[in-house]
Amino acid sequence: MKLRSAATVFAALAILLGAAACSAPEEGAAPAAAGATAPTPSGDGQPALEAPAEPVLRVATLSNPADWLVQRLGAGRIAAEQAMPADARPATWRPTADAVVALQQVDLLVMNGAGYEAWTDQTNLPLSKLLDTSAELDRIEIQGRTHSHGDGGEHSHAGFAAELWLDPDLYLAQARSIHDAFVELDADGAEAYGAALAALETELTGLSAELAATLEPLRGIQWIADHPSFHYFARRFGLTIEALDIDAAAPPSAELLSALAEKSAAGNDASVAVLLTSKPHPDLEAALRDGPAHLVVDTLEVPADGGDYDYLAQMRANRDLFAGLSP
Amino acid sequence: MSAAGDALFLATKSLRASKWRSAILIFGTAVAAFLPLFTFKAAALLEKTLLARAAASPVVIGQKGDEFDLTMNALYFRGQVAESIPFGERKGLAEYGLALPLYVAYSISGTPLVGTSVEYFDARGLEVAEGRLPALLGEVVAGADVAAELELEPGDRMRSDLTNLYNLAGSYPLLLDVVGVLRPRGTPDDGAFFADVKTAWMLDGRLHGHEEVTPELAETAYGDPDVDALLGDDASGDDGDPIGAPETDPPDDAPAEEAAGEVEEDEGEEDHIEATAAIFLFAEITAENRNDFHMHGSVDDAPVGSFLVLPRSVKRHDQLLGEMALHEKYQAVRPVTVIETVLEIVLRLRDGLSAYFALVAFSTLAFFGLALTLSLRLRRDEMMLMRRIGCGRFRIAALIGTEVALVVVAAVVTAVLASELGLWLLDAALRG
Repeated sequence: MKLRSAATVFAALAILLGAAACSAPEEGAAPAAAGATAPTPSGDGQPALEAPAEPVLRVATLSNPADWLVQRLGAGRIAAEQAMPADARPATWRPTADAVVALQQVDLLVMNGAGYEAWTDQTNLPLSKLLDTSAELDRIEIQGRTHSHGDGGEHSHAGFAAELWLDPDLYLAQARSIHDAFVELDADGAEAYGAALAALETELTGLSAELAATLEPLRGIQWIADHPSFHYFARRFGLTIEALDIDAAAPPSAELLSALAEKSAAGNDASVAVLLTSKPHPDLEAALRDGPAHLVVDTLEVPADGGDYDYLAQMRANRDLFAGLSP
Repeated sequence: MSAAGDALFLATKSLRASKWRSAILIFGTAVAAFLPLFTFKAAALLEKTLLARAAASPVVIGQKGDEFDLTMNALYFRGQVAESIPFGERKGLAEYGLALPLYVAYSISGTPLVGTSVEYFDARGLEVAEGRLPALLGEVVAGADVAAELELEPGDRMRSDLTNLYNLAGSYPLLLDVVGVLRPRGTPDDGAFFADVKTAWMLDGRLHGHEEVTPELAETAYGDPDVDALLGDDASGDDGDPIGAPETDPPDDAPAEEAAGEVEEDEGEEDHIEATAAIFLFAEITAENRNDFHMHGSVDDAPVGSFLVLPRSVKRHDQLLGEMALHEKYQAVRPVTVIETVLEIVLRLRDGLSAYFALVAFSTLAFFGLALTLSLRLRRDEMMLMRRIGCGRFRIAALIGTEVALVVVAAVVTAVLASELGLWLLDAALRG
């Protein structure tokens, strides 16, 4: 031990006079009521695994994709509550202080991560309860414009592409991390959680194969997207997608129309297609009518058409849209 | 009346007849008894109190360096650590147990502001007496003593202390919201403000809010020294997306070259904007601008002074110590060991004092004996008279012995009472 001098020690003693005993940690507040997840069918025609009378864990989800996974994996043992209204977008939604205090009390907070739930940057959530389901995955780093001011030097506010759920394989990996967290917190439910994961695995693997088969013939197309949401989707299915980062719902600028025309001119209309994440403005729609094909696809951030969020159904709707373009 | 009763009666009368002599004898003896009694008990109390805080803080992880500085900073919020540790290390430490970040680099009205995570309050048994725990960026809670001293209550706002008067481009004071006051715990926690570690990063400028940096603004900043040009309508930052916002919701008018598509991303010179230190940084967090606050760089690279780790088992505790013993940059400090080392100095001092107290006791005994001898000489005539009226030698000896016993008992009682009073005052001082 390196103690500098006796003088330091005595100075320290003076400081230490402010010290006193601490009590043992206390338990958090009791969970509030929340909807329990559905019991898991065991498969093979067997009855569903028995769920406990009361939920064992209280889990809050921070976005729709994370919430859907928790609902599917909860096996009736989880009281899941969504922090955010289902139709809100994490990039713009902000919680109240009271909502954050309530979130501090749950057993587990499940998030998509990769910067998707931006509001968590401005809130004080318990780090030990926060499960970032994408933290260990192969995330795609995106560059933003760098700037500098003050002492901070040159920096960028870019980060990771967030839409991991558009790659069903990555989404399944996220499901596995949630499953592992459930088992760690509730070992008694390991069998039920395992059965739920197995069922989900079958569905997501099947979906991934369906999408791959549908998109295989479309790999030669030069895709133009209105928004940089498709990094993982493009990587998984071998597509080339250029994001222009435009607001499809706004009147198109002359530059945009020119860019689209340029892209079309570079190939032919059959080799270029436009992916839109929202219904296009009539002017843009008119411009696209005689040009390359365009699809309004669902990025699965919010439920489709005001219904409940259903990843499989919404993703299959996307698949059907792409299938319409197949030769 | 019995012989003992007679002796007690006469001894009492004799002591009362010589009040000053008796008082001096009692005082001198009491001091000789008080000094060792109080010193040993005070050392034991100090040891118990300090070790209790240390025992409740199993392992502190920080950069290699002075273990004492690290312990003082992490447990008592005093002093600074020489080098910070990246926040990203928390992920690895979390495998061993609860890893609580501690960033004690700023103050409010001279009181340390502890940047940590919300689990700290549970881990230390801290409860809110008024208001609530911090939930949003820029919110703090005050320890019981701080709140009493500064007369704080939820809803008050406090400005953080200026850390560098001459660095206008660096961090600067921010207005923080006091949202709660903690119940007194009798620990150093009573004398500090607490906030989320992100709020502490806000104070060193790493997490900040400013107007949107655009090429136009940068050009204005260089080309037009007029401050009004910088603090114009756009300065509120309300109308633009935060720079730190994810690319999922970019501004509608973002130029095409900013698009972060799968391919064709330019990273040329034109993608860097230098906006100078004159950019308008928000000096307080409001509901309107809270969303505009964002991190410089990765959260994982952000600094904290140390991590307080509460291992989930003895095995994990030992594994963590073993892992850190081999680490090139970081060290694991057991505060108990550090405090015990400090206390060893105290114990050595106490041993040294024991010899001194023995000397004092010896001199007091000699003084007592001298006073008794002189007193007996002065009372020779009185003794002679007692002999002549039929009092035996044994009776006279019993009388003198009773007087001595009464003086000693009175001195011991005085010493014990003074010692207890001193310990009570010390305990009160330790508990703040």
